[in-house]
Amino acid sequence: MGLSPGLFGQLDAIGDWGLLATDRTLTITGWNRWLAQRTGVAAEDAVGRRLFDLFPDLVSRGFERYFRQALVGQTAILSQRFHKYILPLPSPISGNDPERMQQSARIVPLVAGEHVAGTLTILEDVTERVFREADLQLRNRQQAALAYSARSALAGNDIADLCRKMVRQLAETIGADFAEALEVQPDGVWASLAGIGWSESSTTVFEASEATRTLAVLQSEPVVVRELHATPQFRSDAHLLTHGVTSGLIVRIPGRGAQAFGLLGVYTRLQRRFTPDEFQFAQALADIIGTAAERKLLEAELRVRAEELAEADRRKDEFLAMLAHELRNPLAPVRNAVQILQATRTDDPVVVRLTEMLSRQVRHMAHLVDDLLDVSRITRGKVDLQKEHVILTDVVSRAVEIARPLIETRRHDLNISLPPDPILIEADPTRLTQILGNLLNNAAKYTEDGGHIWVSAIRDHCDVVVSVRDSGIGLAPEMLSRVFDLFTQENRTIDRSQGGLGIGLTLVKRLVEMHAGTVRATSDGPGRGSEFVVRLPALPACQDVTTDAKPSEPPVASSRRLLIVDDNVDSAESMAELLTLVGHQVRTAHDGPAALREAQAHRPEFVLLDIGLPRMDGYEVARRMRDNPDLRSATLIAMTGYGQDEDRRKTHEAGFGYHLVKPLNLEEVSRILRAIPTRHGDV
Amino acid sequence: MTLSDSQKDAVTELVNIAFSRTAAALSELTGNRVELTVPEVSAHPIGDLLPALGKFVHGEVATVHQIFGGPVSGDAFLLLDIEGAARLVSLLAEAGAPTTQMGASAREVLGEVGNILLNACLGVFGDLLEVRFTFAVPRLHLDSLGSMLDSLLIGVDEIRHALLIGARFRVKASEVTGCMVLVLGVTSLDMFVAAIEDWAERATHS
Repeated sequence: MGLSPGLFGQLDAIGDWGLLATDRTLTITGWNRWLAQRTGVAAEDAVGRRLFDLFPDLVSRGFERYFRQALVGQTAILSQRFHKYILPLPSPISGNDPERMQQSARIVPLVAGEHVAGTLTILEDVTERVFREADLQLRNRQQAALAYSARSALAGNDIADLCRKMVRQLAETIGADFAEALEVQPDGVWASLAGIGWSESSTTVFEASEATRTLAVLQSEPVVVRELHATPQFRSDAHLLTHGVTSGLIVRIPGRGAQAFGLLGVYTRLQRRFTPDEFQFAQALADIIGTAAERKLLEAELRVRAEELAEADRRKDEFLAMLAHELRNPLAPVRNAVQILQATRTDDPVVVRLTEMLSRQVRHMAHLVDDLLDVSRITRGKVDLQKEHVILTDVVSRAVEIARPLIETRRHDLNISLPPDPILIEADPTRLTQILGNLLNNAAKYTEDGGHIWVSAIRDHCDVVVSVRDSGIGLAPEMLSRVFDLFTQENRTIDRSQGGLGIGLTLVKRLVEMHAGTVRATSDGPGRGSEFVVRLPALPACQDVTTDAKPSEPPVASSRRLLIVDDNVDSAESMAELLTLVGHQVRTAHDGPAALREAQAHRPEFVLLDIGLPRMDGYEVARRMRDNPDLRSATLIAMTGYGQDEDRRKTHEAGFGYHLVKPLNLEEVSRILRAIPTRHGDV
Repeated sequence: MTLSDSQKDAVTELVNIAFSRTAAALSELTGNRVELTVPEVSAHPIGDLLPALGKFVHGEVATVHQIFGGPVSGDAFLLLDIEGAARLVSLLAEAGAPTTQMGASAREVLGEVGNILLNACLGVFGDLLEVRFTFAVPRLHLDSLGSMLDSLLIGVDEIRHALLIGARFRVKASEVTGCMVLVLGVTSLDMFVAAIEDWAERATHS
C-alpha cells in the first residue's frame, strides 16, 4: 500500500485530521477514526472501496485531477479559500451558515522505491478559523465604516449627505438589500433622509400609522425582525411588504433629551439573523448621526445668539456715542460761562472759590465725556492715529504734567527714571500722552495719601517698556485679567471722591494696541500696590532725534468781526460774550436764514457756524454764503460734535476753512483768528 | 556562470509554457482572468543572488519552497515580498482589503499558488530533460531575504548556482511581481543548460 498500518496509525495519533490513503487505482486503503466519526462510514466499510464510488462528487467538482497529479508524483495543495471543502461533511458548528465543514487538504504521493504506490490525503477542519477570519474581517469593515462615518460627521457635512453615506456603509458592511435613515418631523410625520435599495417610486414621507416600523424608536434597544410576516407589529408596514422585506434591524437615532431624531434601518429579502456585533455597529452609526444632528442644531443656535450679541453690542456702542455727543452740548455753554467768570475781575473770595470749583468740576465732567466718546469711537473703529516721531521723555513729561495736580493734592512721592539717551517712538503724541496720563492718574487715585509712584522707561531690544508702579491698593488676582474691561472697577471701599466710569484703562489698552503694543497689569495682591507695563515698538536708536517743529505763535490779533450761528442760544451767547471780552466784535444768529441776513448786513470776517441747525443746516448756509459775492470772502469755521475724516471732508467740500469739535476752546478759536490776517476793506 | 541570449530566450519560452498552465489553473480556480509573464531571466552564483533578487523582492519575503530530486536535483522557490504576497492573495481570493498580516487562510492560498506554479515549471523542465522529478511537499516560509538565502548554503559542500526567473502576475488590472528561483548544483546545472540548448536547436530547425 505504500503506507504501513503502523505509520498510518502514528500519523493518525499525532494530529487531529482526516487521513485517507489509496492505492494506485484510487481504491481506499486507509481510513482513520476522524473520517469514520464525521462521515458515519466505518473503516471496514470504506477500505476496499473506490474513492470516487464513495464520493462521486469529487469527480463532478473536478478534484479527480489532483489525485491523478499525486499519482505522477506531484503534491496537490488545496486551500479552503479556493475550494471551500473537499469531502462533503457536516459543519461542526451547528446553526451556522455555511452548513458544511470548511476544509483544506494536501494530497501527497505515497512513494515505494522509485514508484508512486498510491496517495495520502490529509484533510483539516478549518471551519472555526474561517468563521473567526470572517468575523475579524467584518469587524475591520465595521471599524473602517465607523471611522469613515465619524470623519464625515466631524467634517460638518449636511445631515442628509451624512445619512446617505451612513446607509451605504450600513448596507455594504452588513450585506443587506435595503437600508434607510428616517427623520421624525415636529408634526409627527416621518421623512426619508436617505435610502438604498428601495425602488425609485418609493414614498419618502410617512405617517407613523402607515410606517409601523417607526414604532421601533419607542424602544431603547434595537428592534430585530427575523420574519416580517410573523411579527404583528411590522407585517402591516406596506413599504417593507412591497419590497419583499423578510428580516430587518432597526435602531433609534437619538435626538435632544428624550426625543428621537429618527431611525436607522437595514433589511434583507432573505431571512437572516443579525449578530450582536451588527446591532452595535448599526447603533454606533445611529449615534453618530444623532450627534452630528445635535451639533448642527447647536451651531445654528450659537449663530443666532452671536448675532443677537453683536446687535446688542452695536446698540450699546451707538448709545454711548449718542450719549457722549448729547452730553457735550450743554457742557459747551457751561464751560464758556466758567471762562467768562474767570476772566471777570472780582475781589469776592467766595466768587473766586466757587469759580475755581466750577472750573474743576466742568473740566472733570468734560474729561469723563471725552473718555466716554473716545472709547465708543475706538470701539467702532472711528479713531485714526496721527503718528509722528516723538521722544519718549517729552511724552512722559506731558503725562506727568497732566497728573501732577492730583499727585500733589494727594501728596504722593513721584520718582521718574528715564534713560539718558532719547528713545524715539512712532506714535500719536496726544494719544500716547493720554495713555501715560491715564495710568499716572489711576496710580494717584488708587494710592492712599502720601504714597509712592514710580515711572520708568527702558529700551528692550526693538521695544520700549514703560512702567507705572504705585504703592496703592493693589489688585486682587481675579481682577488682573478683568481690569482692562469696560466699566470694570475695583470694588474696594476707598475714598471714591475721584470717582470715574471705569473707562480709563479700557482706553489705555485699546490705544496701546492701536500702536501695536501691549499693556499688562501685575500686583502682589490687595494692599500691595500695582504695576502697569506698556510695551511699544521703538524706532532704531540711530534715528535722528528730531521731531516735528511746532509753529511759532502768531502775533496778537486785533479786534475782528465775528458771527456766531448756533441754535443753542446759551452756547451762542456765552461764546459771544467770551469773544467780546477778549476784544472782538461779535453778533449771533440762531438759524440759517437769520445767519444769512446778519452776514449780509454786517459782513463778518469769520463765521462760527454750527452744522446741526434746524431747517437749513450749516452746510447749506455755507454753500449760500460761498455763492454770494458779498459774503464769499468770510472765513467759515464749522462747529460740530463730529471730528472724523469723513466729517472734515464734508465741511471742507461745503466751503468751510476750519473744522472745530465742540465744546470749543477759546484758545483754539483765538489761534484761528490770529492766523488769518485782516483784509483791506474788512476794517 | 551566465546565460547567453539564446539560452535566456529558450528558458523564457519554456517557462512561459509552464506559466500559461499556471495562469489557466488559477483562472479556473478564481473565476478571474489571470495572466503570468516572464519579465526577466538570469543566472547567478548563489553568493551573488541577493543583489539580483533585489529587483523583484525587498525586505520580508514569502517563499514557497519545493525540494525536488531525481537525476537533476535542487530547490525551487517562488518568492514574493510580503506586501506583494498579501496583495496577490487579496486579488486571487477576494480577501477584502489586503493587509500585510498573512493569516492562515492567506498562507494556504499562497502555498497552493506556489505549488501550482512550481509543479508546472518543474513538470515542463522534467519533460525537457526527459526525467521524472520527485517532489517534496512544498513549504511556505515568511522570513527575511537574507535568512532565506543563508538557509540555502547551510550544509552544502558543492558550488551552487541559481536560475532567476521573474514572475509578473496580472489580475484585475493589478500587477504583482515576484520571482522563481531554481537552485542547482554545478552538475545538474550543466545538464539543464545542455538540455536547453538541444531543445532550442530542435525548435529552431523544426
